[in-house]
Amino acid sequence: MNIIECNNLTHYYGDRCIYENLNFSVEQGKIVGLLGKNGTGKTTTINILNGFLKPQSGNCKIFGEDSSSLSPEAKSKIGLLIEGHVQYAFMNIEQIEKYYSAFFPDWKREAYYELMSKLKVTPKQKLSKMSCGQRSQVALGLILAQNPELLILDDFSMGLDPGYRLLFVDYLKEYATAENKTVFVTSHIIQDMERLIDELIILDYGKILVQESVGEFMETHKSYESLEKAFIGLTGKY
Amino acid sequence: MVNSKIMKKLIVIVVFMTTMILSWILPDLYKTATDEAPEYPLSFYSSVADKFCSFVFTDDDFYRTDVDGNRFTQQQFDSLLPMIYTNQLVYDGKMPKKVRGVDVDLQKIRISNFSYRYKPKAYQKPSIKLYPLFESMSARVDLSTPDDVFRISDKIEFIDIESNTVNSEKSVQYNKALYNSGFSGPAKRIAGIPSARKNYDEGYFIIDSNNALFHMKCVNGKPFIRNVNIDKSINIECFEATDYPNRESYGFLFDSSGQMYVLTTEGYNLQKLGIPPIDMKNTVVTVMANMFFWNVMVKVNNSKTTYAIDARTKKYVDSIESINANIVYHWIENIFPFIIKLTSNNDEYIKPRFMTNYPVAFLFNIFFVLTYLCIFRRNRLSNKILPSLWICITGIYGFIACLLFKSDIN
Amino acid sequence: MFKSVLYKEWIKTKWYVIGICVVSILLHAYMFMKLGRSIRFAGMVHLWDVIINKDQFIFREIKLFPLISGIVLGIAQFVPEIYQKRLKLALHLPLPSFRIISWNVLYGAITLALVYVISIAILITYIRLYFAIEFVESAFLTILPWYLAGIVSYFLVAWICLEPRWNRRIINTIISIPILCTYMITALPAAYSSCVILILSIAIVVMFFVYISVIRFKDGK
Repeated sequence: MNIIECNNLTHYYGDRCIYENLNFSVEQGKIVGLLGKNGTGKTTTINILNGFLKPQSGNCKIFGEDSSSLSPEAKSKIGLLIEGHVQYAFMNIEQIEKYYSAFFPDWKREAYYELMSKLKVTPKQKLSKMSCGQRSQVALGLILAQNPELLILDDFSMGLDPGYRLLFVDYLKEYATAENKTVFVTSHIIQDMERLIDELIILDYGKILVQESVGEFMETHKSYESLEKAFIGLTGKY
Repeated sequence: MVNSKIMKKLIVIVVFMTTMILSWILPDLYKTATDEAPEYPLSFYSSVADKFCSFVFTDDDFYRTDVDGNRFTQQQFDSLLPMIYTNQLVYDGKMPKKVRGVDVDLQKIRISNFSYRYKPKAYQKPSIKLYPLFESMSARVDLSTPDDVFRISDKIEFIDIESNTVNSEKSVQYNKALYNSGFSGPAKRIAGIPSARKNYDEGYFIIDSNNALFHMKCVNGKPFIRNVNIDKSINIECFEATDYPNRESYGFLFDSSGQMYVLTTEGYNLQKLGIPPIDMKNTVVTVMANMFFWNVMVKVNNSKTTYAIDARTKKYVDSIESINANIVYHWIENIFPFIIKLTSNNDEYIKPRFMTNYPVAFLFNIFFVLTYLCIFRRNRLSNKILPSLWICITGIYGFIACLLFKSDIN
Repeated sequence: MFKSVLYKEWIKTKWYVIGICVVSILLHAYMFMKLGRSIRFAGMVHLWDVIINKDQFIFREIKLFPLISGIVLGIAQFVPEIYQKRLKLALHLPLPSFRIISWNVLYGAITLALVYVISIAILITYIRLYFAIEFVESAFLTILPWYLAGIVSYFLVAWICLEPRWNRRIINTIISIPILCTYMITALPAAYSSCVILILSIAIVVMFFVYISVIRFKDGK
């Protein structure tokens, strides 16, 4: 079953075409990575998926619903990580957990605090006083506590040092695999994606270059030593 | 889909609001940038020559003239208007011994001269209906402000200021006197001079619910209340109290048709002024009186008429129309199909007033519709119908509003 | 869920709300001290005369307080939402988008309304202690447009802040200024007595403007 389906997506910013007639889907239980150089439309796609951007034409469906007008039930099944791990910086970890828990009946408090115990922060410490990495863990903890069926993570590795990136990827992979979650993720750091994703979609300017499993992709591009080198080879250095 | 339906309704609201705001702001800005002070000739009736003499203002200068077109020097003009230039003529030693057969008495001239102005603004403003009742016969030159104020609804109540409580004894005393005189509450209007800075005190004039006029004052600490017994055929609209040194009048009375009267101190005799009824909500009346003639200047919108009435009989003698020398018609004013004003020169209330300029402004509206259709010629017709209709009605305002929100309209 | 929204908004704006309350208390204290001084120096008789016959309003100092407090609360509440596009977090909650925004705006409106109602009650009570009932009616009609300006300024700031594009924020600001000016044209006591319905209606209409910004945000404008 496809959790995400995008059909004939076309979008322009002014006269600049981002893509035309883009089609892709994400099956349930898969971890799909959306790769592409800057300006190829990754965040545009995430925004369309979350109903924060109206495409010029075409549509996206999540759980069978139009993404521009998702029902509250559908939204409760989607865990969203905004680029930069944006959260309410004026709250501390206790306050933010208390806030979000009211909206999700299946809220898993233990999952959140288990991750929080790994952070070297006090319960009353505001997110604004935390490092980038710590904030990313709070954002991840909130998503885990929400226990959504679909996770959409926009540039999850942004601003994180290698240690936190590793922690993030490992946690996410373990969680998604164990709970059969569907994950749709973007990142600029291909090595992280390589460890995390099952399938990849590579966007180039205006179109999808590749949509297949990582195994199949590496098989096809055996000449490249790594996914990163294959990506650069396919999309060009600049 | 739901969002776009809601958005349409919201955009209609915001475009409407913007249009209304622009119809207030744009004409106001235009007026601020282009307004000129009105310049009317100032006319006075000469007690010597029996005709109107005027100051006429031109672009940079002024001249003195009469209705026959004769021009005068300052000194000649002074002599034509001895009741106005009394001090100057006395100073120059040119004051005549008699004017109109009457011996010149400087004291009498000074007492007889007065000026009065009726402005709709003074009559049309919010006010706190509490009044101080002065002691009219205090045996002191200066009046002293009382320690209480009164209100009249269907009964009179005196409120002691220091304690903020009703003075029951005094209230009962005055109520008895009021109702014994035939007063029927509630009071529709109370007119007096509520200030200690007046020549003398004559209390208040009260219009009751039956349109009867009562005179109320405090004399030696006791209530003095008289029914003025105005002719029942006169429907009193308002009364304005005066305190002129000559003590010949209590004040000016206006009936519901705008006819002006003076209430004299001679047995409350009501004298009708020999001028046509005025529009009380829009007219400014200025009276400059002397012992022979009253110059009554009636100004409404951009026209001004000066009447001369006999000081004794109050009958019409003569009149002269004046034209504002600074009225300049700017065709561009027709760009505003209607104007909303929140203030007025004629009252102190903040409220919307709506003035239209349609038949002529409609041409400009069509121009703006065509301009809009030209700018958005590539857009779908269905997106242009409602904005075009709106611009057709509201002209430049709707045009600007639709441009400001074009991304949501289209 | 509504309680959670209130909880979050309170955490975000707590110090601003407290600041508004403190300023309100200090302002009231100052006005009452000033009035006391006027009574001691000029006497009540003169004060009554000045108010009745010179159209003076004794608590003129309150005029800008509601407007500034509305703007401050609006900025405190909504600028953080638009910074880093945090509004996405609210819109992503499992609730209809308009409901979540309505709750956010309701928090601010109710907070301001509470502060204003208390302020008006204190002023009216004080006036009634020293002055006749006619002063109360006149004073209420005088301050009503100023307090409504506070609520309106809050709604307009929400509309401006949540608008995603800068050029439209400027347009929204330019339109907002004359709307607010309609409430501040004159300090003449009770001058707005003829158009209470109109100024209330404007406040109600303006309440809905914020949804335009939210729809535009959701459309990715």
